[in-house]
Amino acid sequence: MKRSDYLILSFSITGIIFCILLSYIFINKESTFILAVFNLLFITLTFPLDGKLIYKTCLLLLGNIVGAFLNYFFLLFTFLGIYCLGEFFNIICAILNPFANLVWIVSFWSISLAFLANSKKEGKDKI
Amino acid sequence: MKMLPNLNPTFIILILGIVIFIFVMFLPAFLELKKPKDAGPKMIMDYNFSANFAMKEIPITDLEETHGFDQTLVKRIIDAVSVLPNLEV
Amino acid sequence: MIAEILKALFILLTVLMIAYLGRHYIFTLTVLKNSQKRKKDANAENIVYQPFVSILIPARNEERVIGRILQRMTKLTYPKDKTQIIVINDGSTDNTGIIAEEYAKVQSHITVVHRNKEEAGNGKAAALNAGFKYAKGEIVFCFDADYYPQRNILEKLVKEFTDPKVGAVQGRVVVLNEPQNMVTRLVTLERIGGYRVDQKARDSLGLIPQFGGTVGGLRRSLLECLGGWDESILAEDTDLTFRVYLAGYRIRYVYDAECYEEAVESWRAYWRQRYRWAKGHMQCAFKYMFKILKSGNLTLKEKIDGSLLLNVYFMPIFVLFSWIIGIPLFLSHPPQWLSISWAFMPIFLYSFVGNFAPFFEVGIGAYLDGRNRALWLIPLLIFAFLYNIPICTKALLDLAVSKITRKKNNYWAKTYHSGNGNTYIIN
Repeated sequence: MKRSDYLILSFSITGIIFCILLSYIFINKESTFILAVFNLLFITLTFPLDGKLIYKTCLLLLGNIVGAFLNYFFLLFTFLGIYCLGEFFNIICAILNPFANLVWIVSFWSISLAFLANSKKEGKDKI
Repeated sequence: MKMLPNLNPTFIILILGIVIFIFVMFLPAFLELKKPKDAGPKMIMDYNFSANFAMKEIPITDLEETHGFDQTLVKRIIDAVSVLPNLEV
Repeated sequence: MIAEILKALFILLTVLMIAYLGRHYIFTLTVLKNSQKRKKDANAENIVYQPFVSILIPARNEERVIGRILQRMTKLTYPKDKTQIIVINDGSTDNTGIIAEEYAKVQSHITVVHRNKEEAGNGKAAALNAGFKYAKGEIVFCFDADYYPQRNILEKLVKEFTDPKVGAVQGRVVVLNEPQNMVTRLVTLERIGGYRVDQKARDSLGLIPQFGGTVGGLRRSLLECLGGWDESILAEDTDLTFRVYLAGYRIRYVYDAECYEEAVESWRAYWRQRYRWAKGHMQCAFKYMFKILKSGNLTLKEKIDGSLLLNVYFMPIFVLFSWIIGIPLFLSHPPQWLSISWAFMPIFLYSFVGNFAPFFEVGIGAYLDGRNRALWLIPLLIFAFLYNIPICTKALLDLAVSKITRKKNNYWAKTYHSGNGNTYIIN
């Protein structure tokens, strides 16, 4: 691996840890848990596949950023919704929040897999 | 009497943002459905009659067993031949 | 008091769902690990064991597809003098019988058994039992009328029977009419998860691969001992799976023995098919749950896997139930563990689809198959799952009603095959 690859790798790992910590401090524990589940799924099921480690780590970082942002916006959405529409909005958010998390985890993971598969194919074509 | 709730513009932007986000997450799926690049079906591994026939009918000579050549001798011959120039035109 | 009961129920359901999730996760990791070891499969053509085999093809109003499978049967590489093909025309009102007879006239190893209107239409199990009476083969295979197998599929399946412990074999099903519409493409994803990962892992781990009732075979002697197919069960394949294991035999999943099938093409047909599967599977759960736990012929891991397999069609109902009781619990100042479990709920939702392959099994299966673009469709599986919730709920309610009223309602809703798969066959 080149020096730049090591730099990108360290930056990505730092970024991932940062996302998890920020979600714990500024969002809520549920979002931290969701990020942890996403990371576990991604690392155990995607990292063993063929493909550059750099791509996988960058995708993992991107996933954490997407997840953290979504959970943050959803929290804002919940607070503003309760302010505008009343307490019952809490119930709607309680139902929608897990679905929103579900959508990004599954979508992001499957597109990442497709990206890795394509990059593996392009690598083989070049050879 | 207030008939409509007081909807903060930020709240509306957030609703739109979340809707767009979910739409974007499903977008690759909709794209693939609309214009499939791999609609399938998966090719099933089928019996390749010609390849199997060739494997059975055309014998591959085993230098060691059939002709009794020593492997180290074969290697020396290969090394010697490899330094010769390529005469292909 | 009620809150405490609901909490206890929620914990129990969450533990159950985590058990299933863990099971599928282990399956996915197993297949990933095994895919990196390139195992050289034995060359099917080099096997010495070639017993006389019988192939049962039950058919009811399959005029659009019966010709295709019979044509394909004439192209199989297995010796014709060791093959007997029995088409069971189960009271068809179309040209199924006529088409089958045309093939029987020119192919001496094809026989057609015609069932009259009084005895016909009572389901696949009854049709198979009718055909089984004429079977002479040492191994009895079953293929549905809409299937299209590899030419050397019999060699691949038969070689597993050299192990005397093997009572049945199951091959892989691949959807032929995948490009047809969204339903067929989603069903394909389910099949990929089920056959590329789930069944393969269960076979590798020495668990219970399921006999699927088609693209599979059993020892004739074993089938005779077991008394053939149980006509009172809608899922005769699941029923046989457990009877084979309880009799002390094993089922092998032969991953490279592939066969095309025509998947259902509409949500209505999907409902009818999955309702039948769910109800039949639940019947098996009630019939075999305690038997497999008490059996001395199953290992501990087979008992655990068997229990989870039997109850798999209850899971969508459990997920719905835990979701319903979770909402009031979550909103009533819940403890931390509850809000975390609640946040985790959708992962469970996305884990029970169709053949009950979670999204990560489907994804890894599609990746290993090289189906990169099919991966893009995985998010849409949520709609298939949501659709399975009312299917499984209705199946359970109907079963409960029939148990209470003691009125048997085993109506076999036949899956209609359009023959559109013919367009996609590449010769």
